[in-house]
Amino acid sequence: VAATERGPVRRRATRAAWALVALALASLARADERVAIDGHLYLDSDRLEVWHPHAGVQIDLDEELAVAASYDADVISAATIDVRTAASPRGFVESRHGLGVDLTAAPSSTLRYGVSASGSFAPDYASGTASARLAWEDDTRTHTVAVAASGSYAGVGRVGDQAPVGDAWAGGASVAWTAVVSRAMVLDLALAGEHARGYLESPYRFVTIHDALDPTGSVVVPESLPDARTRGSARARIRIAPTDDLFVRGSYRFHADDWGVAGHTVSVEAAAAPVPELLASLELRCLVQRGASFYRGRYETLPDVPTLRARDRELAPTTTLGAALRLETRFAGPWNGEARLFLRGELLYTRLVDTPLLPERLAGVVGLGLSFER
Amino acid sequence: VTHLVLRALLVLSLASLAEACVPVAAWDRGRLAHPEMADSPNEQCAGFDGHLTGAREAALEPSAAGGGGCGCN
Repeated sequence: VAATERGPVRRRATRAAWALVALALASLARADERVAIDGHLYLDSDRLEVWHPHAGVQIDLDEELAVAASYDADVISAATIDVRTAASPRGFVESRHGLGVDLTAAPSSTLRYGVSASGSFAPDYASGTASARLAWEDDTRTHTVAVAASGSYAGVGRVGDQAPVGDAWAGGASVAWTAVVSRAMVLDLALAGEHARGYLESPYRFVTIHDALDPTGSVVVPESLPDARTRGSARARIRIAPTDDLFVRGSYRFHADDWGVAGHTVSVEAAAAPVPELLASLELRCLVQRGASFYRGRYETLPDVPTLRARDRELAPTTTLGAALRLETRFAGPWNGEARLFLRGELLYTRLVDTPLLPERLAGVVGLGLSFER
Repeated sequence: VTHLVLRALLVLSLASLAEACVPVAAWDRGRLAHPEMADSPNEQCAGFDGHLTGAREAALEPSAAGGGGCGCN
């Protein structure tokens, strides 16, 4: 774990970018069907920087079978309020690497199924996920039903520890129904559920327990969350194309879990394509969430230490507002195919209720991507 | 009782919606076939968005995805 400096982040980011370009060019030389490379940079007012490069390749083995592989990374530079108060006063730089493979079969024009596996590796964390999915369309191609199931394992530790602190398992499933309502409108409904069990805390988070009667009395103990969590969500979405060059989509999602968290998310996006080669879109998003029942911004229970104590601000009552602008262009390439270039900028404002050290957070995201297809 | 009424209304609404869907001919799906009408119009952005919200929010996003309605599932 090194001190936070901009130099190491830039060097790692440059190396990762060159590796992605080499992978993409090598794949293109092998006559692949689709190659995509992109990078996103996340910065926020809590002194967190994340550079996220990604590369993906998809090859059609024959008319029915396609295989895909992807690589992504997070180069994280963190000197957040949690890091400064609990882990390291100077912050740290860390990298996470992820790999994924996917196999999709389409034995008929109305049936498609696939399996995928992915792994994620960091100095203090390793996880693996396997999933399967199936989508079936009726003969009139009006209704589509899709189901998916996944299972994952994660081993969590601290940098420098000999053994992981704990591990967690999760299993989930989701189902979606899509309906073509007219020649310009599509509706879909989706449900999802997940059960996780094991070590669900962060080993880096510590909670201060205060004495309500003595302002100088306090103890610092590790975060402690329930060993199991069941959560679910339901989403309704509509997509409309009022004209040949204007596209609007809106969605509403409700989510809840057995820790007491419940929230509502509304998003609206409008996209315009004044000429076929150019597209611009604006998306607005609002999330309002009730916090977990055991979450407190300040615990004043000494001499008692509560069994459940959370420092994770994502379990706090929050309101998040987001606005994202995307520009996209498509052009024909000399390889008898098409290239697509996108540029995206996003602003996210989060109001965190009952979080004395970080009452709000402003984040910015910039993304740039290129894909080739034939 | 209120929950039962709401559930009944929801089921009736879905049934009405399913019945209201009109099969659209293949040659009339030009707008539906536009990439912007796909389930995920920009998969490269969607991948990062999922990664970000997965780390920053307590919500669970449904992963099952249907088609875009273009008949190119």
